[in-house]
Amino acid sequence: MKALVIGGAGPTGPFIINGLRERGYDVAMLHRGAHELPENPPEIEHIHTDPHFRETLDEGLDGRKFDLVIATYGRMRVIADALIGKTGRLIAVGGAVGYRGMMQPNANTPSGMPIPTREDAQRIASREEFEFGWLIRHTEDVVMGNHAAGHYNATMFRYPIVYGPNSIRSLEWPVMKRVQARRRQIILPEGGLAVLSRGYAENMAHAVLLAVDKPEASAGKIYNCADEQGLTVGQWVQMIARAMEWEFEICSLPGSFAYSAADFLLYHNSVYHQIMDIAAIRRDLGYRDAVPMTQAIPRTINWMLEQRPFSTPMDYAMEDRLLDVYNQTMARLREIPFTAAPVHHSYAHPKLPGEGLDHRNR
Amino acid sequence: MTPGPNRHKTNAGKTGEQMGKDMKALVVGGTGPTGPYLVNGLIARGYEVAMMHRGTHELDENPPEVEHIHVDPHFRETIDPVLKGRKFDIVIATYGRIRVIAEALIGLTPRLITIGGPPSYRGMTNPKDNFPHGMPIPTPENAQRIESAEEAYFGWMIRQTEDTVLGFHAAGHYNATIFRYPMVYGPHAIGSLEWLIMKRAQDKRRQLALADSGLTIISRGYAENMAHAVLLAVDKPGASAGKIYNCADEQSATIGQWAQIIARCMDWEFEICGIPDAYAHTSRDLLALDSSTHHQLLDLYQIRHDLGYQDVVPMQEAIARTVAWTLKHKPDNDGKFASRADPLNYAMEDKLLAIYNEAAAKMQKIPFTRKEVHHPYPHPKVAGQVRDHRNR
Repeated sequence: MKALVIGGAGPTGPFIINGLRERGYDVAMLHRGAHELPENPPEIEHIHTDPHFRETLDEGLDGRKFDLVIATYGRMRVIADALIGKTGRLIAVGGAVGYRGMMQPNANTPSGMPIPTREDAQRIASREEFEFGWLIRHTEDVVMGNHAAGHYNATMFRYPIVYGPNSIRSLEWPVMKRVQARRRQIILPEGGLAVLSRGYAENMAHAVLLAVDKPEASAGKIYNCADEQGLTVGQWVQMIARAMEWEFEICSLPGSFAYSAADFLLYHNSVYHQIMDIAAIRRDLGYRDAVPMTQAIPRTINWMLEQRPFSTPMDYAMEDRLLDVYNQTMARLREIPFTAAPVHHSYAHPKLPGEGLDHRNR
Repeated sequence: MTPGPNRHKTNAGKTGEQMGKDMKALVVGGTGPTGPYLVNGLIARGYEVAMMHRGTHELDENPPEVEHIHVDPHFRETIDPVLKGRKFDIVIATYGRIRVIAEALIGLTPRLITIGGPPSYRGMTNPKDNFPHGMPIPTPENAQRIESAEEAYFGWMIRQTEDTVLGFHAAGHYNATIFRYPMVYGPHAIGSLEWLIMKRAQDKRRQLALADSGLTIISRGYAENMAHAVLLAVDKPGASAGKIYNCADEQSATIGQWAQIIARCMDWEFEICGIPDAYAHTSRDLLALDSSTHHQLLDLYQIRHDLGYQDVVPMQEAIARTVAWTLKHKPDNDGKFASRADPLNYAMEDKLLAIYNEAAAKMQKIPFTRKEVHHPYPHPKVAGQVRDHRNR
């Protein structure tokens, strides 16, 4: 059995490649060759070509046939067409950016994505609405169109923020640098309450491999995938800190002013939730985390510290200016006298039999 | 009506006969928001329905032919005399002291569905008992529960009740199913939280102070949806046997989104102002029992998977209906807010907003240029280049 992995040098690549080999596949990797990973075994074939263009793909794939192709990198809509006639099974990896509201929260009412976001949630409807999201959506339509036309059995995955060894941009490091600098206060937009679905590389590769094992159940489907347990930005920051034996005081600023947090947030200042509903992948493919998030984060931190030291100098001047305002504001807020009203369960629950109303006269 | 035992039975057996047998159901409670949907849902399924409740109030939505057993469902000594010699094909217990009811019903029914809540989960009332703080997102039914009375008394009681009911199931006394109701809203909900927002819209308050901008997600359930969830267990006794289910609307909202939806129903829009949690005093009533900003998002996988649960009324429509009902019926909110001289507390909110506006003005003066953001992977634009246009 022959399998082709397009990409393979990203964080989920080695888990996918080794997972295919365990399943008995003879694996080839098609990628630019700009970098390699030691986790990929030396005996696999490398096809070094650019998977963004028809001409380079056709060159690299001339006369080849594969029982299975997993495409994780390149220009997927081009790859999808280039593979017609070359494979009976395509698993393609995309992202959640095709959902309306992910990048432009105000496009939905109420603002933000549905909580949680299901695979059938509204997608970007036109190029004018949002080009990047439209291209992702269009790619899904091309792949699924080729499936419907009978060119191959296709399944797609919408990867979340992927973390773990070999992730291309460590969002963890700017937080880790703050720990190393022994900074106690950290500014997070709105207390860091935004939940962003993330997926540990090994878990996401496991999700993809489940579709390898279950071609029928996953035929023609698009799946969200993410770790089973989601995290707020604040929880994620505290998990990183704990892995380094540190604890932050989280300082809440309005999202529009929490500039310094852009160091470790994707795209915008994360005051909207991005929670992927993973019921479909659990139901159809029996997905469960291979590594729970509580272990995946410390593993990631340790790997970063050992394998990928981060030397870029940090600039905390902005964060310090904002912290000044924050600390002054907190002092003002602290001066307001307030006693919280007691909270009771809202239903009457009598303590003694025979009383008409309960002890709170309800 | 006076509380206490007071049976008045009327003939409601017609639909039962159509089903070919005389099926009897007991609803304990029945005058809360989900009550009429449960009672009418059972009648629609051919049951002859009796309601057991204190009788301190009644709802017009419950049909007159339903038998009322007026007794306090918190105590064996009050329950036992009125249930003596009675048998029910099914009992849905939504109110009272469920662990007492569960015991009292042994031998009286082969099927018991009880309603509890999520405070049995560790982290709901004491978020710092979990690490990371708060409940798992989302919280599945098998998440860690409260372990002792010392840890959290109320949660421990709820947990013990769950154990009692499922213990009786395991002992073969009856087939039991438990639902963990979220914050239930809709007509007749006790203490309308919507009203706190609606009044602000009516008073044309533009700025709304919410803890951390109202980013907290709280699972809520529209009464009709939650009753539908329970009725699915009536229809599927095999699939739901011995199970505990979370239930909530399929789509959740943050407190900020919920306020936005309510405002929109009233042709208003708020500017939401984020106040750090510790000092967001006027937000406290809007949060769940524990008053913290931690999320309480219940995982609905199980009920969707086992019972095919789907909302009958989608969340945004359900909120609109709730707002319309509240405007029409003008509930006095004496349940939840009776002890407050001023539950709206505009004076406090104005103080918080003044400080917020001052801080925002200061931060506005700090110059900042956002960096251009690119997708982190290189994606070449032209064939034949080793590196892309960003030299990656």
